Amino acid sequence: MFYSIMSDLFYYAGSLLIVYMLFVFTFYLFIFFVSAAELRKKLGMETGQHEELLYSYDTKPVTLLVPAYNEQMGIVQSVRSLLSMNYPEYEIVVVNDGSKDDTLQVMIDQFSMEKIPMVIRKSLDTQPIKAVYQSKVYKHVYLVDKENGGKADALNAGINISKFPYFCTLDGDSILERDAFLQVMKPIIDSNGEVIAVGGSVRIANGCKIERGEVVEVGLSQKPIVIMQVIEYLRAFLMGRIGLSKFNILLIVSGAFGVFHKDWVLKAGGYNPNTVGEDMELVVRLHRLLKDEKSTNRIEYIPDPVCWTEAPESVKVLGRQRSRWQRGLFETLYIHKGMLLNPRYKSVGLISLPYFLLIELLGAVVEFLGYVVLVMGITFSLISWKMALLLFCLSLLYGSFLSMCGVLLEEWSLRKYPKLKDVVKLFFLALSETFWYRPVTTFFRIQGLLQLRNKKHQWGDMERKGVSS
Amino acid sequence: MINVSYLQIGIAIAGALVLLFLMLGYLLIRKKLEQRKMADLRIMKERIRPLLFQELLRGEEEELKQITKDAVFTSAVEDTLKNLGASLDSSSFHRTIRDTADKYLSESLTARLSSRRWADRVNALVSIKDFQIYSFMPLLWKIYEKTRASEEEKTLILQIAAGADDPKLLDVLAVSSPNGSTFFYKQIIRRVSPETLNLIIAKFNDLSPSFRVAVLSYIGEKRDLSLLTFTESCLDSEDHEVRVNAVKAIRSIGFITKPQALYPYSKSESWVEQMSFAQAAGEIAHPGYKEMLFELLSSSNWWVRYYAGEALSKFKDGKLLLKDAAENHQDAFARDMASQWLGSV
Repeated sequence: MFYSIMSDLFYYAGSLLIVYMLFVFTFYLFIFFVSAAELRKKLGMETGQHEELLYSYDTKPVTLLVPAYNEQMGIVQSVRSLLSMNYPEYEIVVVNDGSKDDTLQVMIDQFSMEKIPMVIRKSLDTQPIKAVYQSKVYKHVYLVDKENGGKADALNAGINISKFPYFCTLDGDSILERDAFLQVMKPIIDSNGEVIAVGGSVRIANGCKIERGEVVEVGLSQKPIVIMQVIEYLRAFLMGRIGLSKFNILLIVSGAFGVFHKDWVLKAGGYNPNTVGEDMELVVRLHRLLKDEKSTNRIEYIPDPVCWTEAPESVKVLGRQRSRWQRGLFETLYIHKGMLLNPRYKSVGLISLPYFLLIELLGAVVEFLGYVVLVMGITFSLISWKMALLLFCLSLLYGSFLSMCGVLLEEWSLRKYPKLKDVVKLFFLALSETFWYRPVTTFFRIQGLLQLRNKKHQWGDMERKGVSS
Repeated sequence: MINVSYLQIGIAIAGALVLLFLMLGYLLIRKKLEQRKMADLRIMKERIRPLLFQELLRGEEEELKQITKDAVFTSAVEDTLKNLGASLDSSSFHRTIRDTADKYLSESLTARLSSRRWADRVNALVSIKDFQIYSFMPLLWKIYEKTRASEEEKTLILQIAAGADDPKLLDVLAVSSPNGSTFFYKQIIRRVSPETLNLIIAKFNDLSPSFRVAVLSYIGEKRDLSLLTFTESCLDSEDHEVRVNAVKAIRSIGFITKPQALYPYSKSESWVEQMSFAQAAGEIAHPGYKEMLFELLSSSNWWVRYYAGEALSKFKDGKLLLKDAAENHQDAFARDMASQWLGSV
């Protein structure tokens, strides 16, 4: 009797999983075709036509916000790379969010910082600011020393200090392409300010040759866990974000690199310090504001690789990062649950948020159930081999096939990996995704959901080694 | 619910794997071809570089003429000429480069302009724009009028027309424009001749708002004193954007014939106009502005206070003025702002 009930339960669970995976696969395939069409259109187009902007009176000045918490390893290289950006006017504001290491002292020593009296415009509430420093050598480099309040709080403090109409958020270990700002600001300038936020592609720097804060040779890391993240980034950025941006339903402008119109962010209330997914939460809030005000302004994404960042090299750190992302996603969806399936918010409420709920958030739960059904079902003969094979086949499509599509899009657009062996490596690791990487990340994502009640909203612990040499 | 056979599942798995390996094959072949193409191009560039120099400097074209004019050759000529154009500043040399580009690339550019691929057409237009090959204008106007021409193509064609100072340009812009941004109009204005710019200014009130802002922005960018009278006349405009941009242009020029013309801006109801006044006042540094800036230090808007402080710091006696404000201004916010700027003088 019990066996029969369990067998039926597993059968229906397996069937539901199959339907779910088919649905998700079809959705991604659609997004893939949209992105592919967009990238194919621009294939072979010459880039680097930014000279006119570089010398132009029209480029809007930008404040670069670099929130830093225990970033003594990478912060100096990061700021140095920012100093050599091709952009007419910008200021760099590093916000030390009560670091426990020597971030503050390293910045003071390396950039000859001195305390300055500064009248701070308190547009957003933050933890108290202890001091503001300005570099004696580079007058446009500022350092804000404040009490610990989390990344969102640090960003809000940076916004209060900033004096330019646009700001760009960066992670402490980010390395930018020289023309990054010209590229991300171009949609804003071309649209006469109609575009209020632009996200750029973030790529993984591990394995690349970096000299004086610049990626001089793109390469792949030797570590499978890093290569898998490269594939994941290709899939997420080239496939997901281009497709979603095409319909103005992009909900993430990565915290690692994004440009925002300050007035809109202030109108939206700044970053929310009560979530670990502050970057996504802000973008959803901006979408909400745009729709509430019936504004035609929009948020865009550019596929050009503009920012390189360090990926976790150990399973432990990857686990922490993924559970954090999952918590951030849950919190954002929870905060904005009123927008979900609400016709007032049009495509964002009817397509984008349901996508993030059903595929990105619940996907982890469904995938986890899938592994349980597969392993338990076969072990206790609760499902047929036929169903097991079908589930396996679909997860191969769902994982490996779509990842290969991401690699294909890379070759169609940016072609950053010059060696044939790199493509082969990317292919076989993408193929192996279903067998090890996906179960591992699914486990961490579930862990993230389970930690929802206990975890505080603090900085992620990344254990930076510093990607720069 | 699930009614499939093992054979069907097997076929599905095999199908997915075959598709994946086909993808890999495609990627590898593509990569290999790309590498070969790049290697051929590199070799060709090395071969033609000295020959191109001979032709550009001494007009010796015999050796270059003997090379087969295939796609690799034209790509190599295009790249080499572009690099030369970017690294050399002489205008007479630019003319020689343009003539050489016209001679060797016209055929391939004409073919690429009618390519089915959008990126090819855009790249061809960019090359025409960079090399300033204006003999293409009649063909480009035909392309412009085609319904399938994209916004990017139209924008580039208008930029080329502006560089050629084509008489049709202003008529086309008056009817419709592919892009209404200020930046787009600036790209046009930067390329036209002074005579055409005067024609544009003569029709200033009929232009679109973005076009008007672009004209004033261009004047500020060029710091063109010959257009100062026109710029000053815009200070009385009824259009807020025109007024603000006229003040910005005057700020860039750093001079105004009648400093009193800016006085009303310090009392404006718009904080943007007050801020623009403060920014311009700092650059012009006319003694009559000191008192107004002192007043603006206590504005309810942070930006106005900030730029009023900055402006005072730019006066010769800025330190004294700020010291006085930091100590004696009746408003505490004004005292704080003055102290901040005092620290930077």
